[in-house]
Amino acid sequence: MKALLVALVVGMAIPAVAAFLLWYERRLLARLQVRHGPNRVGPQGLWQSLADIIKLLSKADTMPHTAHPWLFRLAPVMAFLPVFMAFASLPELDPHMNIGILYLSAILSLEVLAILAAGIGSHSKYALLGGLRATAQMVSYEVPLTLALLGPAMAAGSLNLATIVSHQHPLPYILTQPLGALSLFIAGMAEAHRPPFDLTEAESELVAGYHVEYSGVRFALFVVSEYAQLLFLAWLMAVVYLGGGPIWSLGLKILGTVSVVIWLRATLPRIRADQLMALGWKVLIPLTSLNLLWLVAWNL
Amino acid sequence: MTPNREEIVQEELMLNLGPQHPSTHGVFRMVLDLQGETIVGVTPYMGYLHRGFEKLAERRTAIQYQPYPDRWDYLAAMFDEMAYIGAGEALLGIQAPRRAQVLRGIVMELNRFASHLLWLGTFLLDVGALSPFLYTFREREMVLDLLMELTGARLTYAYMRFGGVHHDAEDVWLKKVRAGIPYFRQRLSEYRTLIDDNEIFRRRVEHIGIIDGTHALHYGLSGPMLRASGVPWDLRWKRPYGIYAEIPPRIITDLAGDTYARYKVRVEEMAVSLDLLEIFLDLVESGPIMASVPKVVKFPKQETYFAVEGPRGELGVYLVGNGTAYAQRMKIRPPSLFNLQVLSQLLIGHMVSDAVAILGSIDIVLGEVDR
Repeated sequence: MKALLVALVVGMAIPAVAAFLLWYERRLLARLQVRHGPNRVGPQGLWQSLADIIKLLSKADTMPHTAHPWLFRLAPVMAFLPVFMAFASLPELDPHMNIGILYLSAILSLEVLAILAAGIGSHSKYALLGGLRATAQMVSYEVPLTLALLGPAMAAGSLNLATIVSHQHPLPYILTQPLGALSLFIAGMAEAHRPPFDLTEAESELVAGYHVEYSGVRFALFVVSEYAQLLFLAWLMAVVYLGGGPIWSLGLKILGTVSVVIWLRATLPRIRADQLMALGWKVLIPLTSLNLLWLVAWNL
Repeated sequence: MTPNREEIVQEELMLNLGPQHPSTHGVFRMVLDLQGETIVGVTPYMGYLHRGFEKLAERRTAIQYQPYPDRWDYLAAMFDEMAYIGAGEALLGIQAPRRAQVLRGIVMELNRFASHLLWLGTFLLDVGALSPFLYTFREREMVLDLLMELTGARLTYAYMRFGGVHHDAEDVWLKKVRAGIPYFRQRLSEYRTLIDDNEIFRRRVEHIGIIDGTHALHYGLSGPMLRASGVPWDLRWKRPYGIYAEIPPRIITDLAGDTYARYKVRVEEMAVSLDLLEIFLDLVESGPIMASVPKVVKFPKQETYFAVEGPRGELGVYLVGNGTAYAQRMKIRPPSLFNLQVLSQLLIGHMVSDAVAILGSIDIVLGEVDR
């Protein structure tokens, strides 16, 4: 009963935090780009995301008549669910999950199915290309992401994220395993398709990629799941490499990570599909493997 | 049962880009044949913005037609005016007074700078960088403010007249322009430090969309597209008009001929524009801004071709008079259209992402392509 209540509260809180992140990104990005950003709805435009959500919820539900009906309808839910389920592994929500890292890497890899379903189900060429790119991208970046998570797991001798946090007491793992932290950051950005790895929704090429045909609630689900994923990965980064901590320091670490991600969005051009693959397989996987070797050598 | 390798049919995917696509810079449309993400065929379509400017020249008197050229290439309207007015002056045998010549030079270089700024921002947007677009628009806005102060309009100036210019520049305005130059220079070098050696940017644009000098000439390319392929051809000094005849040549070339070379040539040309502005400001002397022009302008029964070096290349006007106030025929040579011819040559074999970058590097303005 208590677990159900916690699940309910967390389930409500995540979209709210995702909406906050959306506003935060728009404001910070605007500051970096000498603009103002949304500042009219509520104090500093804080309720802008809420207004956007209400607007999206009240829109008519449209579906292209050529779309695959149930695949098209299922895709946003499929995008939404795994991200939410992944939160269950975080130590602040469930300190006793002893298969934490295994669970979250398994759950996160379900995300690709949703994008593929949206890409195929929309029956649009832009969506299809976006889906294709996303599949290749996410399958490649699962490997360095998991390898980068293995480092702390090896060092702490446990897959439980709470144990990993407690092992980082004097020194967080970002200092002892900088390569792993860097790889997790990059692979996480690619996994959440944040710019410069946003090839799946590359605005200047594919217009909006896999969710080009979506509007209203379904579009909102995609956006919320994207920002929830950003939140989750920043949280994971804070827990696994930055040493977690009490709620205020954890919050600062998450916000800091998210800020760097947004800063990179304002700075870098988009990478090309083949270069993305090369970066994943030829740079990140060797880096993470090197990180593991370094760990072994350190502990000998 | 796994399918036999021979049974897997590979089909080409036909992808329609435009005319409402965000990266086709207006209403250009191209249909790409794709194998995976690789382009194997390109069919460009244009004409969505056709407004019949050549025919209009036969239905409006020479004086009435003066504001129309602004609408050909609305991002660099001064050059369109100069091309039409220059052709008309050549037919009529009018020479603009010196102060007007210098003012024309100043507004054209300001306009070239503004046009290249817009190109820089949108090109980087095509490559996927969001921010430069907003930065370059900030500077472009300042240039447009300067032009608005002089001419009263931001984009469609209607500033040049047969025999001179319409508004005289006040000393305050000239001082403002001079004061702006160091600021623009500083911003420009800021952009260059941010962009020039950006690893991702270099990898996106280097060795992409290469065309060598010989082919560039055969395709009739001009402007930065041609100079990026190593051909030192710039009408400002190769066939000088107006005040440019007195200025020592500064022709920027690059040998690589790829998208990065086109970027570099344009960015360096922006610096040259600023240098030229300083030179022109020193040349300003007091005097009339209009030559004496008959009240009713009638083109004599002659023909002429007059071309200026616009920001996109050779912008020419072929004008045939028939002894009335109307032109017998006017033909525009729009640089964007000629530069666009090379598109399919450049695209084939590259990926969809490159297609957008290459199209951006050609720097087309659809108002000019379709006229």
